[in-house]
Amino acid sequence: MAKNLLEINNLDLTIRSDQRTLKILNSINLNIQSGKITGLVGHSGSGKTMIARFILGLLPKNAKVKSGEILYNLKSIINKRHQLRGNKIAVVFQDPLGSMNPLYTVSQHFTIILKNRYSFNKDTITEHTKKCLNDVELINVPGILDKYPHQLSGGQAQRVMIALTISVSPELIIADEITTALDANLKIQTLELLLSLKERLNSSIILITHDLLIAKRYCDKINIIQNGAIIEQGKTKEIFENPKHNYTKTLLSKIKSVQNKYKVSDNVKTPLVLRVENISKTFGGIKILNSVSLNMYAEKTLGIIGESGSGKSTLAKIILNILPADSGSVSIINNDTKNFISNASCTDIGIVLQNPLNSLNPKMKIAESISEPLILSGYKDPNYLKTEVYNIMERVKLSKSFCNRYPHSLSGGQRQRVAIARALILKPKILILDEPTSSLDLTIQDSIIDLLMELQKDRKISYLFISHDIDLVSKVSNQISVIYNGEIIETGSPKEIIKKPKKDYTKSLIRSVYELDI
Amino acid sequence: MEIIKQLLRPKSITSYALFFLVFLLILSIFIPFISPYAEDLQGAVHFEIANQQPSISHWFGTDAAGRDMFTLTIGAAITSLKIALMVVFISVLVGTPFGLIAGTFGGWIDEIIMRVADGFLAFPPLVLPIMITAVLGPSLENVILGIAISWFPWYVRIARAQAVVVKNYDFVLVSKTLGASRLHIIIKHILPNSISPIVIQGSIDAGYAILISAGLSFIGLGAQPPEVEWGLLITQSRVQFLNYWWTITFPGLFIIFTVMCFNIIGDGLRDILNPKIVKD
Repeated sequence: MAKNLLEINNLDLTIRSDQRTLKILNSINLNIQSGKITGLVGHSGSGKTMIARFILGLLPKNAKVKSGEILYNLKSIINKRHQLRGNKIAVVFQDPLGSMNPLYTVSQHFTIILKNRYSFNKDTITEHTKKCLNDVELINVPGILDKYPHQLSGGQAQRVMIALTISVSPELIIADEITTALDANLKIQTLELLLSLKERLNSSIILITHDLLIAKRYCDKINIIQNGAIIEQGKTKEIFENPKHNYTKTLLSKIKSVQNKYKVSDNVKTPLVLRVENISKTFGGIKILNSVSLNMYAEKTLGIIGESGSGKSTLAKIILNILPADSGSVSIINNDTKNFISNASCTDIGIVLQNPLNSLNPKMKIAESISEPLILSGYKDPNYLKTEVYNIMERVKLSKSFCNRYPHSLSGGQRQRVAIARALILKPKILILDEPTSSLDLTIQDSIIDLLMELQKDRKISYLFISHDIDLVSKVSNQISVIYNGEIIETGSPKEIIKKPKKDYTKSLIRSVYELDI
Repeated sequence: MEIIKQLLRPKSITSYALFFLVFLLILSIFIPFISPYAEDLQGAVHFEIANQQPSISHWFGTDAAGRDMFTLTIGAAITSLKIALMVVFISVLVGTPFGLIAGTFGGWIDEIIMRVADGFLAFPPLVLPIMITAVLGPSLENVILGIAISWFPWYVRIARAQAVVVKNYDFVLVSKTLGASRLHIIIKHILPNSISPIVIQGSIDAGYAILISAGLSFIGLGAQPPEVEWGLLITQSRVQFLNYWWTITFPGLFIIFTVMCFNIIGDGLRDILNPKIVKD
């Protein structure tokens, strides 16, 4: 039986804001066993971070501890927390760049900490710094020492933060949503690193996360927090096998299981409608796209999976012909005339973007926004415009009464319907959907996807469905391409991609969403 | 319409300010017809009643030439308001299109427009109008022109800053994918979404235009006698200020109030057009 390193008993915490007193934490009891990873799992705003800040003695000014005690190695430390933090207890925050001073280099960050803690001399500091950076498996340590935070990549920055944390050899590390800002690859690498460091330093970890999958994989014990109260705690295995509280059950039900409801036909025997060949694009010396090739087929959906910064939006812009490619070609194939049109003409491709509030002009009425493509194509007859707008609005299930309203008075789902209507009014053969549902909540997401699927059948459109959501893409696509660092690393049917991914990146992407061991 | 309604919501300070300005304008238009001393506006002199204190018959007293200060002060309002509106109108009309073009096109067009604008801004705010009126000859029209020339670069900058932000919005991107021309994008998308800060700046600047024109008239470069203008009224009576306080106090108060009203309206517009600030 491991001993309790840290104990919190009956913690009640309130915060005053706007003359109101809000109860943030409600009789929290928490035991952190030494040498274990304890998970704090809950949604944002549930009070997870407040617990961390309480342990560190870094509560905001307007917070008040009503009752509760905190024991470290069985001694009360309520008034000594400042002595422990950065010494016995250390913390890593979510946003590594935000937690580093942009004016200091990496080595200066270490110098400040080590000078204060150990009064090392210069050489020892450099040595110790190098050792810590090596411990977090950073490559090219001498090169990193003199870099400023903004010169580091997200993954590097998070590793430097972890290195800073372990430089004081803490007994307890608080990791507050450390992987939320990282992509799937780095997420898993970072957590594995933390795990190995824990073994080496023989320290304990409090892992704060909203991601149940991470908690399940790495925690020994889990505390589920809802609205400032721990509603369930226990060994990870017990909680996952036998959840008692309803909230835990709903959380667990949200872990996505690989379902078999893929779009039926993954054979693509329909004619080719769009061919993208060897597109490359460089921005300011950085390669955004590297020889990307795609084929789109009539009435089929090609899914593009990639995380932010992978180059997927740049690809969309090049296909739309609003950004010139450095090399390569985009051709639209008109199957009636068997003609290749090398420059995408504007009426053949429509686009629906992520944030409908951004993609609709706030000063234009809905009817004006929807009819804009027609006007730009030279249609002027107001009666014709009106009937077309009414028709398409009916098609996307928008009431005609919206015509004279402005975008801000519509809900997110309605706005996205307007954006779809605008994209379809010229009857394009190809529609690019750039994260069309990621700014909407789940139920509305479903209704928009249903609408898109219906429209595809109805109007015989091909979709290029761009998203970071592998689960969603696999449901709607006939084919999937995975894009990583500007390169398409893998293409296949949804089934192949999810069941038998070939590349490591795809594997970690799938592991971060599904409960699969690949 | 909605904006006017908001400005005029009952008991708000903006409604008082707007009311004051409109009332002043109407009074100023009708003063030649209702004042018993209307001929004073044309330069009539009555030395027998010079320098009289404020009284029932002369509310603001009389000046050294025996002119009724109330009639002159109110009558001068229309000149000042005209200057305010004309200066802002010309500055916005010239500055906004250049700013929108600079912001939307970018590149060398942006460079040229902005460097020229910077050239104008290199002069201290009063020096350029003084130079222009001194060269073109002192008159109200030249004052308007002078102030407008020294101010339009500010509108270039505001419009450009807005255009740079708005042109990166997704709706502009969508419009581009549909083959929209730059002109369409500027008129339909960028202009309507850039106009708020320009309107706000304009209403505040209207007040300062009055201040500067009064200053120019005070040093003899603006309105010329027998025209009436607040700055001119003050300069005409400045030597005897210590003995006859009313001769420059009332025009001065009117300058203060009018400028203040324009500022209040500008602040009010800012609150109305940027709903975020109101919530805070």
